[in-house]
Amino acid sequence: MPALGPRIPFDSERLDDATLVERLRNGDLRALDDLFHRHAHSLLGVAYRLTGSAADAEDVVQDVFVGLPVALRRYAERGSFAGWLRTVTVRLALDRMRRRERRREIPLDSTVERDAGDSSAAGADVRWELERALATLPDALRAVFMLKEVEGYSHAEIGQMLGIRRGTSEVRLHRAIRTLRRVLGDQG
Amino acid sequence: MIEGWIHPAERALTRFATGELEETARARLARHLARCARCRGRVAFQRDLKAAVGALQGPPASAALLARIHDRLSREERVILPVADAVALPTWWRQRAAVAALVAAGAALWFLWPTAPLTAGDSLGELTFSPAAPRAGEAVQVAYRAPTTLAGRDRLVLRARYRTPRDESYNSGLRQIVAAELRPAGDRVFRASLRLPDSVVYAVFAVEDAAGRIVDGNAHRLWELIVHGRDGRPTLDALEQRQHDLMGRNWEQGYETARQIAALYPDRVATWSQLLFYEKNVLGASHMDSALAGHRARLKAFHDKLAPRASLSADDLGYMFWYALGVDSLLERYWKARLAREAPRSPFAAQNRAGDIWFRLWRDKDSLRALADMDRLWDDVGPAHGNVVNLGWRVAQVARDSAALLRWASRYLSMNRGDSLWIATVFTGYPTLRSEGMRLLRQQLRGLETPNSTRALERTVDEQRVVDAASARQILVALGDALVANRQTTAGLDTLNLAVREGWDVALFRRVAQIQLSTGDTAGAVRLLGLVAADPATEGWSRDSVRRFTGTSIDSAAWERLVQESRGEMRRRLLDLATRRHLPPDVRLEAAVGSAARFDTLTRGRVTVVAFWSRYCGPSKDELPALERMTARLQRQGVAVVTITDERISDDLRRFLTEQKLTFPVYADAWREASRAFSQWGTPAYFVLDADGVVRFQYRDLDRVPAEVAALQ
Repeated sequence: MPALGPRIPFDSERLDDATLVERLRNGDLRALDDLFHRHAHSLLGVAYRLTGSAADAEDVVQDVFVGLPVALRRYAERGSFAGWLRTVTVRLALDRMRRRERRREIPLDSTVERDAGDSSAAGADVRWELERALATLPDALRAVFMLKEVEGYSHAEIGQMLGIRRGTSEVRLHRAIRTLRRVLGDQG
Repeated sequence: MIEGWIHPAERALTRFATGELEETARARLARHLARCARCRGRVAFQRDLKAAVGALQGPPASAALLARIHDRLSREERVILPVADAVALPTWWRQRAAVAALVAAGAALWFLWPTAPLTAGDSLGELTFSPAAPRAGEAVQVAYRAPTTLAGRDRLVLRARYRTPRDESYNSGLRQIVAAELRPAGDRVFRASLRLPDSVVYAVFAVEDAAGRIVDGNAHRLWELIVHGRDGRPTLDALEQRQHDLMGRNWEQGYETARQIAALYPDRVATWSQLLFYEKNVLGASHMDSALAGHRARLKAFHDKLAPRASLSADDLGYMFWYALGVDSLLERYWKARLAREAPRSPFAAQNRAGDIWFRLWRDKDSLRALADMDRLWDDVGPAHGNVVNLGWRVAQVARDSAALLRWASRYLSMNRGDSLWIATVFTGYPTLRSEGMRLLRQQLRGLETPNSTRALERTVDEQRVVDAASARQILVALGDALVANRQTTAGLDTLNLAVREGWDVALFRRVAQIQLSTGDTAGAVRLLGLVAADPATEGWSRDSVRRFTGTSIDSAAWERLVQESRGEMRRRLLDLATRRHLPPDVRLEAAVGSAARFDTLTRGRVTVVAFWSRYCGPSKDELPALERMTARLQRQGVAVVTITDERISDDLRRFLTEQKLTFPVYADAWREASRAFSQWGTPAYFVLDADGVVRFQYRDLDRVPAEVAALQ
């Protein structure tokens, strides 16, 4: 049985990243919209997990896309564009954390306090507990933890990005996990 | 061996979990882990942590964010991105990039498609009111330009459903009244005047002939009057009642109303909570991604304003909880706790309390405790919320306690008068309650003829008769079953015979035939079995099956004749039940990632079966193999089959289809256009369309589909 009826291809969907990048290089800003819709969601996730702040994550991703038209002039098409974009986002997020450190800002989302009267559903809200625990990590530990455990970089790569030694990265990861275990109450 | 009992260094455990230990150390540690629960727990903790953190989502990629980017670009802002000396991508990322690009592509498609236009049918006549925006209690002049079907009469009837501020959602319990008689005023125009009662804030109307055989309901949209205030704006009560009236009748207009309320009355939490409800139901998850950011910010603003106040109304507490639900889990918990503390008897809190009892029952399987808890809750809150009685009645069924069933049934019926058939049918399943169940069934049968006051506005007297007949058959089947179970076989058989005289229910035909056989009525049984054999879903039923079934012999020619006649009978009975509903044009479905298909191009010129399904809905998933078998058979007959699932097309979905060996054509309702066109919001649901693309049958029962197709071919 053949497929029923004709299938109408959706115009912008046929375009892959390479075509969109080429269009954007040629000044077509609609391509930026397409790239935003395609990648912003995951980039916001990367930036949020690193900075721990939705506002910072939005700022980082804003910067990525504002800088994209110019940066693409220097972009050499080696490997995946999505991966390149992710790396740029990680770098911008780390940069933001460093600046925040200098200004001694605390991400807004970590100041949220639990309502004292509501202990009935203890343990039910995993996300809340997790974010609270992550907020206790100093940025230096948080960055290594996210880069290693979530983003999947090696200690050598992390060392290169953060300007620290490979062994330091390992130690920070270990300390981050120990802190989280303590905060999350895992006694095992 | 002692190495199993010395705990390894924590760093070694960390490196084990990240897969960075060299082979020998790894093997040694693995041996230790095999014996040591403490260290196993630490490794498991690290892996769980990794998964949980990886699942943390960032803020949504909202349209507002994109707008800010364009704004900065238009001001020619410069950001230099750190792209030099790029670090190589992590290995796993390189592997997944292709898959991620595909998923992101699907997301892009979702965002980019333009919003669908709202659909509207064509009306026949035209009803106008003056003033069009009346105040409460004001006199209104009505003019109706009649279509040819209603022109030339000496009078027409204007029927209405009036709503006051306290009326509930949906229209089941509301009465319809004759609002006025329309008199001819020349040139096909009819006129009347009416005065809205003071308490009425919203009214809907339909026009019909004096006998109620031709109804103009403005193509199912009805005409409406919305009471306005002194400031010339629709009152909040009026708009809320409009929303209640549209519930289950027209989701799109309900959503429109919610948006109107948000524009006019933005300071109430309830406004936004209701708007969110409609957005979730009408627009679906895709649009929610972009809408959620706005709701989070608004929720936060309400929270900042209301949280510091020590005393809040039950409505504010309840709506804050509802608004936070699904938007912000932290605030949801905060407001749930405050609601429970400060307004424990309010409808919102009562519903939560009932839900908690139901959840504990599900978890602990202690139905006696749950029943005692429900009774205590009832003593405390009474009929505060419909879900208290719904869940109480369900708990009583789980507990199988006849006294509790009687008690909760009466509470349930006090709030859901329309559902007594269900209560009665449940009763007949309990020997001690059977006679009470039968009494209720007989009472319903007697009261079945729908009075004009409850006939739906857009339904003719004849259409109502068909609906009533179907209800009567249901009651007769339940009653006949109960009588047979009560060993009153002859009375049961007579009752069941009444039920099989009309309608089309093969399982019922077979069951009644069996009962007839047990009482020696072989001729009656053979006649019913002819109907069974005529239904394409019971392929393989032959005179041999009948002989096996009845023990009697029937010659080939006579059997063929009987089946042939029964096919004619089936067609007649089914077409009696058929409806005619036209679908809007341009309904789009997602055919695969990156391609859309127009629904009408899939169906044109062929009888078509449309199946809505979901792999996350148990009953729907269970029927997929049967749907697969049926599709193959229908396609051989030249019937088009379109199945529509409630998720986007993805690799994961394709894997599911392959694993389940499902080959029927699958489309996604990516823009909710199909759900809206079919007025369809649950799975499984099946529709049969004739060759002109008109919806003729709609059921939740897959077995009926082949017969309906046969009736249309």
